[in-house]
Amino acid sequence: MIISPDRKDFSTIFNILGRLVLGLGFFMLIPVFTALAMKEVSPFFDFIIGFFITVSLGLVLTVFFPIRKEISWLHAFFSVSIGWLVFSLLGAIPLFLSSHFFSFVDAWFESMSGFATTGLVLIQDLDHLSSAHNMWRHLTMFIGGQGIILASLSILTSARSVALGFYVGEARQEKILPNVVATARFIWKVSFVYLFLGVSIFFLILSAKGLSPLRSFLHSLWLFFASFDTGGFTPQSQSINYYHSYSLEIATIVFMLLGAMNFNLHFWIWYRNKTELVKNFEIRTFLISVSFLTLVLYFSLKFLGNQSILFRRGFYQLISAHTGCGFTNLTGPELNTFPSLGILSIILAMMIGGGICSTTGGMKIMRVGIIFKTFFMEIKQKMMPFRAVYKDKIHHLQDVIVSDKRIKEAFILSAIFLVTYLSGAMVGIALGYPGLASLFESVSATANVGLSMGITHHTMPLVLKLVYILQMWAGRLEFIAIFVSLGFVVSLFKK
Amino acid sequence: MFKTLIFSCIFLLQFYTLCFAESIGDLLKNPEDFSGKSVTIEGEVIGEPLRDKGGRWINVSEGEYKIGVFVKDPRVVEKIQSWGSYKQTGDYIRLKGIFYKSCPQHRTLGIHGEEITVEKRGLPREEILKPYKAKLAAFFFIICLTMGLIYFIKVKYGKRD
Repeated sequence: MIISPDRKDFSTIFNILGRLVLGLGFFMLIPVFTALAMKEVSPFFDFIIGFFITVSLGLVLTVFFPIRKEISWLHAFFSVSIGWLVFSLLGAIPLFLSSHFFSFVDAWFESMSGFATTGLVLIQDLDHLSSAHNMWRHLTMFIGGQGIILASLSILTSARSVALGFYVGEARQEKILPNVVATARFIWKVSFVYLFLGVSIFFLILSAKGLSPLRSFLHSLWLFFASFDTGGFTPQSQSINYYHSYSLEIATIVFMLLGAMNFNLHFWIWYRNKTELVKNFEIRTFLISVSFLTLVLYFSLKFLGNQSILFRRGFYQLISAHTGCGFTNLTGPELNTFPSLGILSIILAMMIGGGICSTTGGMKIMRVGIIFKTFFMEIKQKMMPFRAVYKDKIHHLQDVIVSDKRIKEAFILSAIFLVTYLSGAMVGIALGYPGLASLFESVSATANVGLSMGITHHTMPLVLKLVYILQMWAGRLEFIAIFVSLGFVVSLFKK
Repeated sequence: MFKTLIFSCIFLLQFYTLCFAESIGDLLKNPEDFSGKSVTIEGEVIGEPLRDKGGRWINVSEGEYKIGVFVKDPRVVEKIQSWGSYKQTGDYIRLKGIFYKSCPQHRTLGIHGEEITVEKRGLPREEILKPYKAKLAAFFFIICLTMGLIYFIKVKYGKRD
């Protein structure tokens, strides 16, 4: 029997949403204080307006829509899927007021790109943007990457029974600790330890480059948010290329990789068994994938006499794509000069993405690994006696049998991702953009990467902007929460 | 007559190289055509000069397109006094140097700058607070305060659901 929501359910959903919106409002106080500290008058008003609107909406929802039912998975899934849309719309208000966007849709695009940790940008004149707005742009990635719901979960103690619903709704599949609230707190703890480490390392590098201590600190903080949460925004329009620093490129690679790693694996390495790092199935699959794609990229660049740029730039784009970060150390439209095969290897890296239960998007290396494992299992099965039953294992924290349930889940989600990648590309092609660039941009939006071949521009058609917003949203939540919510809505009409 | 013609040509060529700069967009879109050649660009200096082995990097913007310029001579860099940020527009410079698609020293695309002329000094950017923002802030402050009061009354005196 399918559960169909009633009025009481919607009241409960709006109440939860109201509480989450209130939480978002308080995050907006950070750029308010930044504006005050940096003496930025106009941005101060942009964020004060944003704060008042957000808090007012949060209060309206909590006051007029009381919790009328015990919170269940239905409410969790609905709140998560609507929540991300509402957060991105509210987050767009101060951005739009900055006058750095041509339309509200552009600001919404940027905001969704931040919350979904994508990194595609439509902002104009980024190099003259205020520190408060830059703080907010980068903070959206931290909030989105860590999971705004996860933030709430870590302080929520009354709804432990449905905490898993919120957790799964935000596209996290594995619990690290037996209870989800403890898991959420662990993820925040890990993030804050890396935050301290990352900011310190970036600060040293940037200070050595000659940035003032204040600018070094702010840029370090923002680069950490963008690299560890695999978001890809930067405070300067030239991305990482602005800094012209080899050491910064290496440091960002390290933090991109840490962000793309399964949080469960972080826990295991920190507290249990360090050798897991070399035995883990996800890590091994990732290494195979990176090696293979680097080889493809190397040959594609070699035949065009471009091998000199392989390591400084080709490899950087590949890691940035694979971890879903979207940083680039290329200059402007330089990516478009890459040969098609090289572009294809970057597209494949973006499609695959990082680890399950990490801040990355995409199909995820675990699922891709399982699909390949299933392929080899099928061949082995055919080579065995007719009645033989064959099951293979993978090592992920412990030896686990590749069950039919895992295989089904891997195939279904990968198929949905592939369909979305292709659908977005078809819209791009239909609007007159080249095929390869359309596919590149569509994959970049859906897998929440942020690399661009130039299609993402304020002049692109409104339809395409909306399609990419939809792709970023759906890709970040890995479709299921959205589909379940849509299913509930459809069930309303069947009553 | 012949000498006059040659001098005129030289003068015109000099005039051309002095007055016409390559667009940064063209350099980035067609790097093969310009690689290893002497180019002249114009644009606003964005961000502070950044230290690197044997020189400093400056970033020059012509709007949509930006490029990094490596300058060895510190005296050339010292000519730049302001760089673009939220509170400041950067010096508008004219720069001559060698463009590299992949320079042998850094393995990146950029220009090795030789001469800089500051065409226009950067100025502080005026912060314009649009009047509607203050009004909007006041309006939403009142709504927020009202809702806060209703919430407070409901929590304090309302029935528990």
